[in-house]
Amino acid sequence: MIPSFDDQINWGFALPFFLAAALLQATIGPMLSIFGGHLDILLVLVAGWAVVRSPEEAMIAGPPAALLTGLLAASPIGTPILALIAPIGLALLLRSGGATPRLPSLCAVAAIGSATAIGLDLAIQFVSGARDFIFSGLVPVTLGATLLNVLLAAALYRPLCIGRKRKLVRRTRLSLS
Amino acid sequence: MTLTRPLTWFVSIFLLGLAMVAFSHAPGSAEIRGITQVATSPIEYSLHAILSPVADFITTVSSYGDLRSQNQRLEADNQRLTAQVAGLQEQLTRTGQLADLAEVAGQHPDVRFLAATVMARDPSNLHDQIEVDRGSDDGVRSGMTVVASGGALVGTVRQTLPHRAWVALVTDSQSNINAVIQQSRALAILRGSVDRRLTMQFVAEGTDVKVGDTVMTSGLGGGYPSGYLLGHVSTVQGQPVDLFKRVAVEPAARLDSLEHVLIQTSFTPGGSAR
Repeated sequence: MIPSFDDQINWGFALPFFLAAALLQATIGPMLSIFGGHLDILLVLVAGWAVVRSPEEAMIAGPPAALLTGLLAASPIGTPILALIAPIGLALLLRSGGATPRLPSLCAVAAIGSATAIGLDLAIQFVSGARDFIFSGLVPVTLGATLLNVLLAAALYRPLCIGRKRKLVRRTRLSLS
Repeated sequence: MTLTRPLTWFVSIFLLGLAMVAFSHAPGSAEIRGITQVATSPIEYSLHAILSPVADFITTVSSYGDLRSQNQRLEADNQRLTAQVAGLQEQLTRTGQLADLAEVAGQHPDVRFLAATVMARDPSNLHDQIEVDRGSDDGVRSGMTVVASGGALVGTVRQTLPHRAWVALVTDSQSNINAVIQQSRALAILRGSVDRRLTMQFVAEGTDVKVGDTVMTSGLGGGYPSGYLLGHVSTVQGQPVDLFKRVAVEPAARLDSLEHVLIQTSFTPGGSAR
């Protein structure tokens, strides 16, 4: 069961980080690649924020940043917005199961989110009329992008944990009261 | 701020995403993209200038083994270089690139070219596209061909914004070019792919193709003008029982380090080239 939002959230704190990630994504994202796969900085940051800090903040502050990413890329504008559904949904499921956010969970969400984003991009291209793709290299590209995103997620885990304990205490107090 | 229904969010975001995908094909989207890109370009320039050395470092760490041997070889050369020489070299390189482009334009006096600077690369994993600083206000239209120094074909304009345009490179996964092998005059289709490699399709098994052969645009179909250099054959594979040979092509243009390009404004697909 997906939980309802019952926590005081501060999405205004997350939004500048997400917008900065969107700009970084457009600037240096294409420069970082392994096996032809590129880093998706915004996807990883939103996934990390949703898993480690607050899914609610990621749900509110993520879409505007994704919209900015869509406007700065050549792909259809809505693609990065749709790509957020999988990682945020997974983060909510993890929270509903009572799991404590940990590094493996974050890496798993980042990996699944990356692969889903590429699949989604492919599906949108197909629906938009692209029929003559050559798929050679799709597997290494997907693996490379996933690997890069998982590495970034692992690097972001500690910074994202800053201030989380205080937030959890506040949340517990709220629920007890 | 408190929300009550996460499912409402999922439905809303899904519908918003689909609406934005549909809006991408609407006429007004180009203007909004153009405004956004112009507004964010100063920040992007600054970020690029600050972070590109970091990005280069991260990328090259993965090829540490090769770099180590290469570094030993280059160390002696580096000692001779000074900051002044590096600055002059950069200036010389830029001048050389512009001279190369001017030479290409001079080789085709009857063709109109528009010089453009590469601004960005598309972060998508499925496409290989660059963004240039010329757009529909400069007369750039979808389908126009783009060449690099040396006259090698870079790609074709896929999407135009008022002051910018996205150019799909020849290695893009949807790139599809009628080509001819210069030595044997064999016709084939040159395709890009997701992994940004070029392959020739429909090269009959009996065709005489050798490594190093030159591949040019054939002009068939009207999608590209004829006579532009595409690349050179890098590998040829296939058994006598195969119907077609597997021919890989190395692009002639250095697509990973493009800085300046020429857009052939006098050519549009299906129209006549002037």
